[in-house]
Amino acid sequence: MSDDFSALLAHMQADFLDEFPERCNRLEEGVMALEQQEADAFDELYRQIHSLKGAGGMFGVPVITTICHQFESFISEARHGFDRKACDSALRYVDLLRKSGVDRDASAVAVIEEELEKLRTSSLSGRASVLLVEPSAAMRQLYQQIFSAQPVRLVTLESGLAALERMLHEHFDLMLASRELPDLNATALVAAVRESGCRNSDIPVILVSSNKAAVPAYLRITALVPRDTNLAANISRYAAELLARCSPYYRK
Amino acid sequence: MTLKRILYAEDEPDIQAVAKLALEMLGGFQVLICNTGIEALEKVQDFAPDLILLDVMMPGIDGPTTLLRLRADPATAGIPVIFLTAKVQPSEVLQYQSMGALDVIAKPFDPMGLAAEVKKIWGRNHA
Repeated sequence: MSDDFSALLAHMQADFLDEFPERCNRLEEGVMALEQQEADAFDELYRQIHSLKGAGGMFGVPVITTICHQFESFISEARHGFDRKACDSALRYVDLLRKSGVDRDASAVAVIEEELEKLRTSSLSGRASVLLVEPSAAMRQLYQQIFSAQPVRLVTLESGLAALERMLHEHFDLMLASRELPDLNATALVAAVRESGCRNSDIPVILVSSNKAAVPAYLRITALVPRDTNLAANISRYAAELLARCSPYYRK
Repeated sequence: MTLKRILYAEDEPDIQAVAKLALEMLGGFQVLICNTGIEALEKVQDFAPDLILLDVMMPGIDGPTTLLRLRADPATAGIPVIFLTAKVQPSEVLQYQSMGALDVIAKPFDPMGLAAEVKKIWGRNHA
């Protein structure tokens, strides 16, 4: 039975890859429809990308899932100002998908992943990516206000484990976290990220805490900010300094 | 109790086809695929499944809402449910378990391992 199923699955995988270029063409049409601001264009494009995201991994081409994941986030963020530039970026995602259906050996996948990372950085148009990990809604609101003046993309999470999972998959330029978090506290989170060897293992970190106990040096915390009346001013200052370092002018 | 009949609500045609074959051929189950949560609610009583698999993100009503509606009807309230989701976050798993789901299977799943995973979860809860 298992052999029969393997044979059938191989057949379905082959069908999926045969139809894949056609699905990429439909994505391209979807991107053009979104640029023309046609009704329901966003929902339709999102549905198509989401569908490929599920199928890619299941049919043994996980890089399709990785590209679609980023593509999905990109169109969600760009949907309200989907101009020519956003359209160009979206079409580059479609091109990467096309390649991923053709070149599937490890070295080709590595090249695709590299291009994907470049696309992510360029589609941020110079904006830095900040991960905010804070369980309190009031504090999150405060930080959002502070960052609203900065050219950043802010991703907000509430727990240490959720932040760890996200950091293992997505690059950020700065993390701002409360020292005490549900699931996994921020020191354990930072230790795990530093040890992981992922793209974020050298990320600058601002920790906010009312706990004044020193943090171990090996965690390389950039700033430990007390939760006091100067909190907002301190965060603004550190964030501005750290973000200046990762702006396009400083980026290699 | 032996696991024989599985209803799976899933809106993606690719995943429907692979999951149905995997569950039938490798698990020996009888499988009914529904395209939406609404269709699952319409067909659940006639099909009388031992277990329901629910995709979390579906158009119309999502997986968690479908579970709440199943629980609200005494005829279907006792049928065990497993969620399938692409966004497996610990908080999400806890939330689904607190709603009464047996477990959560991560997507994309491995077609060769799906039936075994379903059996494992079932065995853990029906030992």
